[in-house]
Amino acid sequence: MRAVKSKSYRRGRIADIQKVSGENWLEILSEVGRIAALTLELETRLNLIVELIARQTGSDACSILLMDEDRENLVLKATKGLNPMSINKVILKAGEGITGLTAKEMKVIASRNALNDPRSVYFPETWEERFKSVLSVPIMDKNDCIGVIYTQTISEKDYTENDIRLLTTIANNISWMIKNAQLYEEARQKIAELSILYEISMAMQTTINLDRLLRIILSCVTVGSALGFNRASLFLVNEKTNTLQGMMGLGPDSGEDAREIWNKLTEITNLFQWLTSQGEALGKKESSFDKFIKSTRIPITQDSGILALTVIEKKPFNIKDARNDPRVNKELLDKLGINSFATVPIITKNQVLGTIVVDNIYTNRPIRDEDLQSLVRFATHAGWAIENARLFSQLREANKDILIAEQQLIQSERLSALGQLAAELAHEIKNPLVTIGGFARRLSEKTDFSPEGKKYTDIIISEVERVEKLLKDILNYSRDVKPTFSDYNINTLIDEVLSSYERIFSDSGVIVKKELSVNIYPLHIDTSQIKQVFLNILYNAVECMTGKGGVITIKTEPLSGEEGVTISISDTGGGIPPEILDNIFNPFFTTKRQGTGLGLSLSKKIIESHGGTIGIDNRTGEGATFIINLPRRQNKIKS
Amino acid sequence: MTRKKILVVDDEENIRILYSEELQDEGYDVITASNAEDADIKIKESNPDLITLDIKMPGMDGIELLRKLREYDKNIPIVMCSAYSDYKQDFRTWASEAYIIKSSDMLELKSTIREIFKKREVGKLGD
Repeated sequence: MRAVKSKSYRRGRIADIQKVSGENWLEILSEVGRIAALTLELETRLNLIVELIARQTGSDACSILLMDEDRENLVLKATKGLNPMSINKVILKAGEGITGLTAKEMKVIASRNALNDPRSVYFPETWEERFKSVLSVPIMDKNDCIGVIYTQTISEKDYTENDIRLLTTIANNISWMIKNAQLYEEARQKIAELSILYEISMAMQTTINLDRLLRIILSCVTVGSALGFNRASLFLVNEKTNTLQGMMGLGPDSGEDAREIWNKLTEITNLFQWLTSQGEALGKKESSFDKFIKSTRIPITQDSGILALTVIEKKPFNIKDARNDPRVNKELLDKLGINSFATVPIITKNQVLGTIVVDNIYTNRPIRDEDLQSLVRFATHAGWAIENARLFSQLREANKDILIAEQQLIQSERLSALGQLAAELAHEIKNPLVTIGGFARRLSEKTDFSPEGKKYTDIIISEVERVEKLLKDILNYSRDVKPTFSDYNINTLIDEVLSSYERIFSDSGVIVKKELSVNIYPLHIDTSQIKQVFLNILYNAVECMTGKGGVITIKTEPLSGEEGVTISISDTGGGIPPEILDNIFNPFFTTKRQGTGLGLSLSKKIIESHGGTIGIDNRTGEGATFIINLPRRQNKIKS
Repeated sequence: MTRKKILVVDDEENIRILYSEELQDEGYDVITASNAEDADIKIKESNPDLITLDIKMPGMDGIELLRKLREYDKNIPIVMCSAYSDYKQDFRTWASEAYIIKSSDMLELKSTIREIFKKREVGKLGD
């Protein structure tokens, strides 16, 4: 092993300049200045510099490696003499190879025969086997090494003090140029990011549909030109259940899918247009990742994992080693199939709406703190958009409620107008009716009529009676029903009704079957009103079976969903003709000669004033079942 | 025994005729009034033993008249007659002796009046 002459130089530009032979140096200095004036772009600057150095130092190759953002690796950025295709592909750790060592120890390394130098690491793709001697110099910025500049020659060369001083001096004089260009690059990236954020927020403003919006948000998080994570998922806080609810997961199911999608994504030229088209486009294909996210519910407590913590502590987490992190829920981890991921809270007005979770499952690219910062900034925008969409949907719900209430109001106003009209009409009719009937009675009593005369006056009397009864019903109906409530067992009430109807049933040849559940609550009802309802329904049932006979089945069971009772009354009277089914609950609708048509509409009004519902299950040709649902609502209705 | 005098107050002429005839058949003297002012005059003039009062009348209605009548005579029996039962719950009608819903069948009215007079008679005998 041959000893290699090495020297390290610290800063001291002016001293260096004096030591470098004057004529050569001045030319180099002016050229460096010209390059700096020519362009701000790093790539162009570096390319011009390597050419300049190769020319001025008489080297066959000159290359520049720069430290990457994490200050861990050296990356080939420009070369004159090596394969230009290897730019950005050659990556060295600090300490690795001659250049890596230069960077790590911040000293000049000269090697006469690098091919045999044990410190060398060769990269075949650079085609550098033809070069024998290497001179490698660190590029210093203050006390940091920001890169390495090195020259190579095909024939073996002993580097002189002067050679070393020349390259060191150049390195010292271009470091500010590189730094400058890097800052410019960063600023440009920041601007690009800001303009992407702008486009994203514009895209988010195009919709107030929450589902579409979430899709746009997650597309932003995953599309390469925006935030570029492999997968993203979004959870929203459900305040009622105090859980995080998985809303959507976006990301390919496999590495293959991922490549296919990313290939497509590289064709995106207009981010805004692409994002706004995402609402529909991606919605059609549901990935298993999406399904998994949508089925996930996480309680918001200290011990239910990192997602809940994100919401509770209102801060982002960058989890680098999830398996060994006690804060991470292992079950979730297995499902996600990753070891590193990040979470950010979605915050508006200091209220946490939810969290976005991202990972790089396919590229394994580590999530840097800068990535997380971008995501945090983005989440704020997303938060506002989600809040907007939510407010909108709440508004729409409220609107819908108002519309329903309005319709109910119109209906009840219509009814009350009808009621008032009926009352006035009844009053106007009642008086003449009383006189007609009253005098007809007097006629019948006072006059010695022929049998026909007697028959005619009796008809007048009975018809007047019929109209008087109708008026009484109308007035009862149109007046507000003011019930008196008490707790009562509905089974007992049914027994009472049935026993008082017993004779009518047997006379009509109707059999009554009872199926009364013992597991029912007593109801808070107006017994006389509910009795009226049963009588109305039973009366109808008996009437449609008179002469033919039949079976009435009356059944009680607990109401499903809340405390209460469902009562069903079935008959075998052939059912209700479909053409009149819609009308049976309407006031004054009747098919019977004797009825006033108020029985069922009054029943409906009574049941509704008890907070219940009445419906009909009609089996044309067989029979009909009236189904009454009565909730138990003690103290809710004032008597 | 002197014949009882009944004042029928109703804005409908035919009702007044019907009531008069029915009540005369029952053995009462009947005078009529078509409105509140008329009723006021007739009461002072004839000093009736019982008044039937229609509720819905143009001008001062039966309830208001009832209140005025009670101001200067707390005892005279008054029977409210109405086409509907709504006013039954109106506490202002409670100052009356009875509340009757008008019907072509006069049985209820007649029996109610009979009952009232019977009670009064018993009350007087007890004095």
